[in-house]
Amino acid sequence: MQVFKNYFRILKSYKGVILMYFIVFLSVAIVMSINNNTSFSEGQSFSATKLKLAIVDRDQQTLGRAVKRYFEGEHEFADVEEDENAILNELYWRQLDYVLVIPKGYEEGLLDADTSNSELECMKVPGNYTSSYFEAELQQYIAKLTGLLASGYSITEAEDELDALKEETVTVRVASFVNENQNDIITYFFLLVPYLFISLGTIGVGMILLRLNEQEVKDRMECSSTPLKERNIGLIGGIFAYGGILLLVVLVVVGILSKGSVFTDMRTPYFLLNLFAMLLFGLSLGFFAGTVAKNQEAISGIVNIAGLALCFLGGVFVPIEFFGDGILKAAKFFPTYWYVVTNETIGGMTKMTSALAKELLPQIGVVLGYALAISAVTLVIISNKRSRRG
Amino acid sequence: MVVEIENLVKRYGDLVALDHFNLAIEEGEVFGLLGPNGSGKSTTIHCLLSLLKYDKGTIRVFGQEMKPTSYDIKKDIGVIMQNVAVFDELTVYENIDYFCGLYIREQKERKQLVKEAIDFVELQDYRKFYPKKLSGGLLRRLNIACGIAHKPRLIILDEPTVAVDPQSRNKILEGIQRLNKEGATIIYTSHYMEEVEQICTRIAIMDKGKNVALGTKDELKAMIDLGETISVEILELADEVKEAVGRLPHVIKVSYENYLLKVKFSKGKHNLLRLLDLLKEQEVGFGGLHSELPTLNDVFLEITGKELRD
Ligand SMILES: Nc1ncnc2c1ncn2[C@@H]1O[C@H](COP(=O)(O)OP(=O)(O)OP(=O)(O)O)[C@@H](O)[C@H]1O
Ligand SMILES: [Mg+2]
Repeated sequence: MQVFKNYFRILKSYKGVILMYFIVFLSVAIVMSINNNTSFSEGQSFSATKLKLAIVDRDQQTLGRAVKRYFEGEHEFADVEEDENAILNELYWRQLDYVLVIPKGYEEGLLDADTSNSELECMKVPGNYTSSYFEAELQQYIAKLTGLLASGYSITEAEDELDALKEETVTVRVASFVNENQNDIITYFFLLVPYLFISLGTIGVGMILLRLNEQEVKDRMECSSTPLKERNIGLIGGIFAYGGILLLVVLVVVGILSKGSVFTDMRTPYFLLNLFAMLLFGLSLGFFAGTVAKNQEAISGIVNIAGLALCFLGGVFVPIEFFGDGILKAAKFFPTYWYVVTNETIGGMTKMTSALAKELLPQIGVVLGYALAISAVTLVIISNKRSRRG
Repeated sequence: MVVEIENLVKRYGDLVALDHFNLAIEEGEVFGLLGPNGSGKSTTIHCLLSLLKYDKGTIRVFGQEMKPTSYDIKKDIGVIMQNVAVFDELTVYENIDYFCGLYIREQKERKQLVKEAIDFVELQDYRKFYPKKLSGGLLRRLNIACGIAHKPRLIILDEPTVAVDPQSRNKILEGIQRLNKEGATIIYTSHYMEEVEQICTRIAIMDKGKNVALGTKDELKAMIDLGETISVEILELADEVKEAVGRLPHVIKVSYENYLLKVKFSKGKHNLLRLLDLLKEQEVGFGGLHSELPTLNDVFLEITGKELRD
C-alpha cells in the first residue's frame, strides 16, 4: 500500500509534463477529428462517386440479382469469394468499398414478417460517405419492397416494379448521415490515441521506475521489513491504476466529442479491447524505459523517438494508404500499425461476425504480444542487473 | 549479542574488500567502525544488511542468521546509508512517512512516529520542503529521520556526517547518543576519529578489510607505547637546551619551530614535571603550555604505519 501510494506521490510532481502532453494531444486530436469530419461532407461530391460493391449472396434467391440490377447504373459491382478474410483484405486495400451480405433465409423473412429475424449485413470501409448514401438507398429499396409485398405483389413482380420506378428521385434520410459522422469522430479519435498512450505510458511509468531504481533508494527499501513481493505488487498496482486513469480520461473525452454516442455504440467494446492492448503496450514501454534509462533526459528521448516513430510509421498520423511498399513492409513491424488496422476494421463494422472476430483478435494479439515481449525483455534485464550485484 | 560477524570475506573481482573480518556487538553499545576511505566500512554494512552477497563467513543479528528475506530481523533495524536515500519528488514529511510506512502500517501510529522523528532531527520548519531545497546538513538530518522513525532496536549509521556543517554535526552526534540512551544499539562508521572518540563506547579500527584493533578508546590508546605530546611557547631556545630536553627520560622526539617547542613522550610518569624542571634550571622563559594525549590517529599510525586521513 505504501509503495502504491508513493507511486502517485511521485507522479504528482510530473503532473505538469503529463498535462502538457495531454493538452497538446487533445488540441491536435480535436482539430484533426473535426477537420476530418467536415471534409467528408464538403470535399467529396458523393453523387458522382461510384462505389466498388460486391454481394455475398448466401440466400441464393432473387433479391441478390435484383439489387445488383437496381444499382448497377450507379455503382460498380465486383465478384467476390465467400471468404471473409479475403473480403476484409480487399476492403482494407480499397479494392472494395462495400460488401453486402444477404444471409440465408432473408428473402423468406421478407415474405413472412412474423418469422423475419435475419437482417442484411455489410462489411465496409469506414468513414465513406458514399457508402452511407448507398446504405440509405438500400434501406429505402427494402422498405418499398416490403411495402409492395405486403400489398400482394410476388417478389419478382415487386422487384420489377421497383426497377420501373427507378427514375423517380430517391429522398435521402439525412438523420442517418449525421449519426454516421459522429461515429467517425469516435473512430478517428481512437486512431490517434496510441500517441497519448505511448508518450504518457512511458513518462508516467518510466519516471517513477527511474526513481525507484536508484541504487540508494533500492538498497534502502531492500533493508526495510516490507517484502520484495509486496513492494512489487504495490508498484504493479500503481502502474495499472495509472493506466486505468489514462483510459478513463480518453473515454470521457470521446464521450464528450461523440455527444455520448460512444456509450451506446455497439463497436465500443471492440474499440476498448484494442485500446486496452495499446495501453498495455504504452505501459510496458514505460517499464522498459524506466529500467534501462540512466536519467530523465533518456526517458524524454525514448518518449520522443519511440512516440513519434511508432505513430508516423504505424499509420497513426499518416494514413496507411499513402505508404509506399517499402514503408508498408516496415510498418508491419510496428504494433501501432496493427492497432490502426484493427481500429479501422472496427470503425467500419456494423455487426460483429465470427469471421470479423477471427480477424480482429489476432491483430489485437499482435499488440499484446509486443507488450508482453517488451515486459519480458525488461524482466530479463532486471534479473541480470540483480545477479551482477554481489 | 546484537551483531556477530565471523570470518567475513568479500571480494570485488580481484579486490579483497573484507578479509576474514570479525565483529561482535553487544546490546546497548555505541559501536564505532573507524577506518580510512576504502577500508571496507560500507562493504561491512552492506553485507551485514544482506544487500551484498559475500564469499565466506557468517552473519548473525539478534542471534539469528541474517538473510535477504529476514524481514523479522529487518523490522528492528534502522539504516542510515552513506549516500542519502530520499525521493526528490516527496516533501520532508512525505519522505519520512514513506520510509516509516515500510515498517509501520498502522496510520495513526505512523503519524505519531513521523512527528516524533521530525522533532528529533529538528526539521519542524521544513516539513513541506523538498530535499533539493535543503542544505547538506538538513538533508543528512532528513536521511536520519527516515532511518529512525520506526524506533528500531539497532541503528546503523554509515558516515552520517559527511559534508555536514559543525552545527548540524553536533546535533547529529547528540541525537545518536540520545537514541542510545533510549535503548538502541548503535553502529557508527566514520573516518573522523574525533567523532568516534566523542560518542563511541567501543571502537574497531579497520584497514584493508581487516579489523586491526578493537577496544574502548582508552584501551586502544593503551595498546600503543605513546604518552603525551607537550608543546611550550618559547621565544628563544638555545641548541644546548634543546639537546638537554632530548636527553630527558621517555622523550621520543623534540622539535622547535615557530617559537614552539614540541616534545613527544612515550608512556611514563612525571614527563611534564621533568620538562618544566629542566626549563627552570636553564632559566628559559616560556609562555603558553599545552599537553596532548595520544589520539586514535596515533594508534592507527602506530599499527598501520599510515595516517588515518589521506
Ligand atoms: N561495487 C564495487 N565494485 C568494486 N569495488 C568496490 C565496490 N564497492 C567498493 N569497492 C571497493 O571496496 C573497497 C572498500 O570499499 P568501501 O566502500 O567498503 O569502503 P569505505 O570504508 O566505506 O570507504 P569510505 O570511507 O570512502 O566510504 C574499496 O577499495 C572500494 O574501492
Ligand atoms: Mg563508505
